[in-house]
Amino acid sequence: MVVLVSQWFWPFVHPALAAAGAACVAIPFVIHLINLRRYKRVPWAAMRFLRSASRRGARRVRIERWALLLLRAMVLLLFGLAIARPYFPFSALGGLADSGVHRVLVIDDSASMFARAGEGDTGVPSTRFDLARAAALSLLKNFADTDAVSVVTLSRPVTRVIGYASFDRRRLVDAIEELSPRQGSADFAGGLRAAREILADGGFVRSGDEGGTVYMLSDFPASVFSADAEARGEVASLGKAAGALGETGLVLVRCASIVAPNVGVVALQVADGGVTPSRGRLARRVEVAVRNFDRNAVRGARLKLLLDDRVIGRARLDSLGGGETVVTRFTADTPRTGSHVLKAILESVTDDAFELDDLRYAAIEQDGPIRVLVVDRGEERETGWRASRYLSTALSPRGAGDAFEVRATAVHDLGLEPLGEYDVMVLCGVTPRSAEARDSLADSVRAGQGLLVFGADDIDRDGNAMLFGGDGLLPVRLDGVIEVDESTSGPVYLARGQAVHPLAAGIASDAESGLFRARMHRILSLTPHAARGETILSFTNGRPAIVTGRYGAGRVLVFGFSADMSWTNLPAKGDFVSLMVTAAHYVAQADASFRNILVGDAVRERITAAESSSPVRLEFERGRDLSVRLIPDEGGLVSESDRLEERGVYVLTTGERKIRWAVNVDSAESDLRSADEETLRASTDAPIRVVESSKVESVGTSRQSFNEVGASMLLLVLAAVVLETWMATRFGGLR
Amino acid sequence: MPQPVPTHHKFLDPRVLAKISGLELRARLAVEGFRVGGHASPYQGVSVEFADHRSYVQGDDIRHVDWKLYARTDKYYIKQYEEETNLSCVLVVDCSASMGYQSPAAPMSKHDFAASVAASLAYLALQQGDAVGMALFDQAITHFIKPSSHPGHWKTLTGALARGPGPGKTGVRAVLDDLAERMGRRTLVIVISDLFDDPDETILGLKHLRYLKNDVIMCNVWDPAELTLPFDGPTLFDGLEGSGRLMVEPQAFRQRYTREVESFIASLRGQCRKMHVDFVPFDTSHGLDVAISAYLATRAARIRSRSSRVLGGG
Repeated sequence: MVVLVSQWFWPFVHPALAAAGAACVAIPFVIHLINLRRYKRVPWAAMRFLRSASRRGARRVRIERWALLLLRAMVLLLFGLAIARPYFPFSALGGLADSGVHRVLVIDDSASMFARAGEGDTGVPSTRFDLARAAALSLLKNFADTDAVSVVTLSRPVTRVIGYASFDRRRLVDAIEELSPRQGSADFAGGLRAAREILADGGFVRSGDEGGTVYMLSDFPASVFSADAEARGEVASLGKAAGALGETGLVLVRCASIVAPNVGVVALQVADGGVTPSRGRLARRVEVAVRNFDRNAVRGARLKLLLDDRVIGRARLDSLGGGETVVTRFTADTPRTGSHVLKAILESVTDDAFELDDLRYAAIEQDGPIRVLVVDRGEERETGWRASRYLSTALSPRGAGDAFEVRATAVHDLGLEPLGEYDVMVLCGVTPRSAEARDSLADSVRAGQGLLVFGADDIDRDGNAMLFGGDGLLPVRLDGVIEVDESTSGPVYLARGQAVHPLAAGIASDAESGLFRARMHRILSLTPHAARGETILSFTNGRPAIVTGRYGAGRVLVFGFSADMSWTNLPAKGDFVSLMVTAAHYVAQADASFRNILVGDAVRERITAAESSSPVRLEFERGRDLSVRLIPDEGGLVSESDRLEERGVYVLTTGERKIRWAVNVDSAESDLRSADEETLRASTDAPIRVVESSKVESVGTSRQSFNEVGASMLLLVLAAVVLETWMATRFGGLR
Repeated sequence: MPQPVPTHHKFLDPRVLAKISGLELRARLAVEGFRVGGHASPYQGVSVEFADHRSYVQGDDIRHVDWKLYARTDKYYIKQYEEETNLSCVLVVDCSASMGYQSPAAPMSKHDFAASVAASLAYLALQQGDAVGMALFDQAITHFIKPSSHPGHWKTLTGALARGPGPGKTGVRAVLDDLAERMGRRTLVIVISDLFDDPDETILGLKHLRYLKNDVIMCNVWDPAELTLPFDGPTLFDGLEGSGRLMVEPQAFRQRYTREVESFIASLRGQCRKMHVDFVPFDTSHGLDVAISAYLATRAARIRSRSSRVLGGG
């Protein structure tokens, strides 16, 4: 559990004493009130003189009394504050005092820190996080009492556990001891950014510098420190600032061995839609990727696949070579409708240092066949295999009972079609001719239906141009057809590149995919809309090949190639079917891929108008309810949870729907290899120090001064006491 | 080396006198103590005038032999003196409630002190053959005793003084006016009071007395606490003459209070000086000799002025 401490706090070494001093302010007033109640009674003859004296001096005496009471209260307050050892930010002192050391402990509490790191003192296996926590406490012990310390944790989202410069060692120790690893992925860039901001806000460093000392306690995954450019930038920035102060500003404390044996499930995905009808069920192809991150081979691992907690498949991985990834394919016989969860479990792996990745979930969704309307020129449908036929064959090879229900129509008949009954509309080089048809098409997409647009020789540029604009239907401008001259520029293919969009990531990761070997003879020149267009895949000549964008609640995909063989041989490739199925699923928003998220993400589900009146409930395993809020989004409502901290299956109930979300640990956390010192040093030119967690006693005591003003305050207290004595004498010994 | 204190002198100390319960004894001891003390007493040969000679007879005090006449006549003659019997003195003693005040540090109350002073002066005056009367008052004269020179009159006076203070307020003006009407001219009036009244009114009363050619001695009695306000901490002052209550922290007002008191005394002293009235402030911790000295000095001055009038007038 993470304890968040308020950032607002007066900087004291002993805040409790400061609080006690503040409480003592009341003492003079209480004594005064008590004295007033404990008066003595005196018979008196010379009342006329007493009345005259009190009448004339009452106002002055009242002022003197309050002044004296306030002074006495101030003496107590100042004394309490002085012994609480306050300090002022350097900036507040204007450079009159030495700048102090503000140390920020950045502790990695990401999922990889669950990895076993050896046997602890009690024989209980200790984790990397145990090492990090012990190292943090050891560092804290080494720091001088006068050092200010802050604590940040790294797992996404980055948490400022003690987000201010604290001197309260007890609070710091408690906060660190209460930390525990979380299942989220590490955000090194965010953690370093937070540390830099805390240093800048702490006021301990000279104006214009961002120095201080940052201690990052982590396993430093080799994959991150060799690839995360943003993190490298932060390391360099911090190192530079710290170097300006002439001391080591960044200390990397490695809490892991460089190599740790681990085998884990790194992917679980449904490869495509249903293939075989079987009494109201769909047979789905499921792929489970298992990777051995160790250098040594692993034998005898077993894989088990469950659908809604029912075992539907088993596999034995006889041998997994060092660094090898094995993809096991299952066929899952899934219900035709409803929301379901697949679970892949890896078993019988000995000496596995990281068990968190031995289990992976995947949410799947099926609401019956997706209805697709393919629109082409119509009159040429009988002359050969045109685009509509390729698409119909790809999406519904067997006709009735397939996952897709495809209907083809001519563009001049588009106005006759009830567009509201389709989930996806496909324009194969055509443009709705009438304004009514265009408006009807746009309304359908805005309401949530999907649209696929393919190129063709006779594409109506002007007509399509009418669909483009700041708030137009298409997320691209169609600039015409480009003839590929292979003799001068060479052949053009789809570029594998860094495909991160979920639609293309699966395809791009398949090295054997034929999609990237299909030649393009002509391509459609696409210019994505600056705000709405997102290029998913490009051609090898750099031009966008597939561009997506949202229009209202619907999704639009524009392809820079044709859906038939006139421009490319891509429809002849086997993976054309997968691409079309995936694309149709994507724009129909019938796939459940967006319900497969990582720890640290939030559940985000669109709520229909009918459901908006019903309560929305998000339930985690064992009946734990989580808070969900409704927020307006694009004219509708979206239910959104907080960021999820645990992997597992979350069930969102809204109206009559029961939707399952699968939350997994980021597979990047499975790679337990730590970056070696050379790699870490290479990540920045700045002077950083790398130490093992077992040797942290040697660091952390460089400077001990800071802007403590307690002594000055004691002088102030002394002056106030002298003033109080003088005033008490001058005012007649007021009590 | 400290000088030994004469036995009788200690009876001038109010702390000693306070231990003596009988007022008569207290007054007598005070007067005797005063006489035997180091002060030159105006009683010796000043207050008595020469009258005639007579022949010496056995047993006469040879100090009274007129040696000059013996030188001329060779016969022993004794000087005979004429006693001053026409000095009339009225002791005006305040018996209001405020006179009953006695602070913890004071040896006696203001009234006890005033009674001691009055009894002492009466004793002394009667010893000298003066006629002594007395008026006790608060807002008005509550008890009046006509002047008499009979030695036994002293017991009457001390008996009246023994009554103690009453519950009334102090009202000096009316009392002095009343007294001026009751008495004849040229009387020595000795007022013994704390004078806790409007000073302007008091002065008017004095003017009335002085207008009738009376000599006046104002003995202003204070308790030492009334002069210094020595209290600390929150204190509820309860007025003795129905003047209400007041809750104050006296230490905060001490300086201002003492200035008020000093101003009051200074004002009275100034006004009295203008009217040739002896003003003698003293507090109850002081000796009675101050009051007795004041009385004797005034008496002597009066006799001197009478003598000068006789001589001047042939």
